[in-house]
Amino acid sequence: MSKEADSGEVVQLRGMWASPAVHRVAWALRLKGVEEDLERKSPALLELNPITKQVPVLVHGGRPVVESLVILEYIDEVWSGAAGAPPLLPENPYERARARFLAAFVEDKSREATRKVFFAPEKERGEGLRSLEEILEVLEKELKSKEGEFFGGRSIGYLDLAVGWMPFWLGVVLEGVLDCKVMNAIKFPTFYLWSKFFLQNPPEEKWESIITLPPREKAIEYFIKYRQLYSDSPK
Amino acid sequence: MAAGDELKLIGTWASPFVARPRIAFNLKGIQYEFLQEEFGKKSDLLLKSNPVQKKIPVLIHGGKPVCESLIIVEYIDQIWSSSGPSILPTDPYDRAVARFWAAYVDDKLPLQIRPFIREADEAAKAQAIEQIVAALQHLEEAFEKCSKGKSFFAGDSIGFVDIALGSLIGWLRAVEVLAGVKLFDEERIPGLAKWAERFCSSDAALGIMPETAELVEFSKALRDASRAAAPPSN
Repeated sequence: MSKEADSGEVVQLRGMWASPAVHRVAWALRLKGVEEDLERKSPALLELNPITKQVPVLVHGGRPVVESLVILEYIDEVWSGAAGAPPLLPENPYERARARFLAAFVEDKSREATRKVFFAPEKERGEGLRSLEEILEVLEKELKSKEGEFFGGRSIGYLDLAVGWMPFWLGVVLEGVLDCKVMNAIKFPTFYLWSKFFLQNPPEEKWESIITLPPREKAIEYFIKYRQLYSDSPK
Repeated sequence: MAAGDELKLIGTWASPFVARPRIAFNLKGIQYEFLQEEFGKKSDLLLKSNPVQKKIPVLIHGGKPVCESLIIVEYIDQIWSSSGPSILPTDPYDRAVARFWAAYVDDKLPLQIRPFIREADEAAKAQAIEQIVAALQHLEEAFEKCSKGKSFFAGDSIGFVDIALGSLIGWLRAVEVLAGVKLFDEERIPGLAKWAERFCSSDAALGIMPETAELVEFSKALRDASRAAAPPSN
């Protein structure tokens, strides 16, 4: 049944079940202990629409908030101090700016990189993979500098949520669809350890209830079909 | 870092992204050292401060770098929260709306200015104009909704979306000259057309908005540079 948020208003998350952007918002809501009104959720159809058009929309008290990273900030501000969860964004302005910068950087660079890896002909794929590796290098370095296992330090924060899609979507899905490995545990050991939380592995109860993921086989199947439809390369 | 620590901004006079923190500092009445990059070169300080992207603007506050124009603006708003007007609204929903429209500006407009500062064929330029016109139409509606009859997106004083879009007015006017098309058309987008005038003549934008003629001139230098950098075509 629906539970209303602190502010007494109904919360609904709309978006495509396979989309990483939707999941990052769902994780944020769960971290804050906010329950969604599931009655109005659309059925999980295998609608093969371009993901770019299916952005997550958070509807709070009837008002829509769009753009997943903007939604994360909104959730952090509205439910600050909720469920005893620490803030998603660092309090220190410099650290805050750094978290936002890295999230924006990854978002931007990975868009083009995943397009190349996923859709472009074989010869461009190498470029895409190299770009993804460059992102991982930056993230590996950043993680090493933290006190604690997360980008947010000892607890999951904004940047963890922002890049948390990578272990499943670039790991599991990419490997399943293209038989191509990006998450190199030897090159990026810190990132590798961190990524286990976003694969629900170790399966600690606490993380299981927060880090939800689409069903593995179903997601791979979906992205195989999606790729066939939108690929630049000849079928 | 405290509000009183050393402040340097790395950038150029022509970059609309650099204009953003400069406008924010103006609004807050804060002094800073403006370190201009040489055309065609990236200084050691820039490369050291922003090794990840190697882009301007970079704000160095008490020796620590902050990158990405809109992120810098939010940072300035936070550090100097007690000076000048608030750049972002206080209500979380209004903040989300402001962030959305600023992201929309960055998503839609800078890319469409590119065909005018690089080698590009007429078809690419025509398409860019179409995209700009469509985006400005959406922004006109956003302006009506956000301003609620007041002078700026943020109300009585310049705010986040005003800065995001306002910083691009110079280049959009340059595109008007280069393409021979009116973008800030009083008939199509009356709200924005008047807002643009107001923004450019505001105290906050004083001394920062480059002259259209200068940008048109500069665009030629950029096109020449991109031609020189491009591999020879057969």
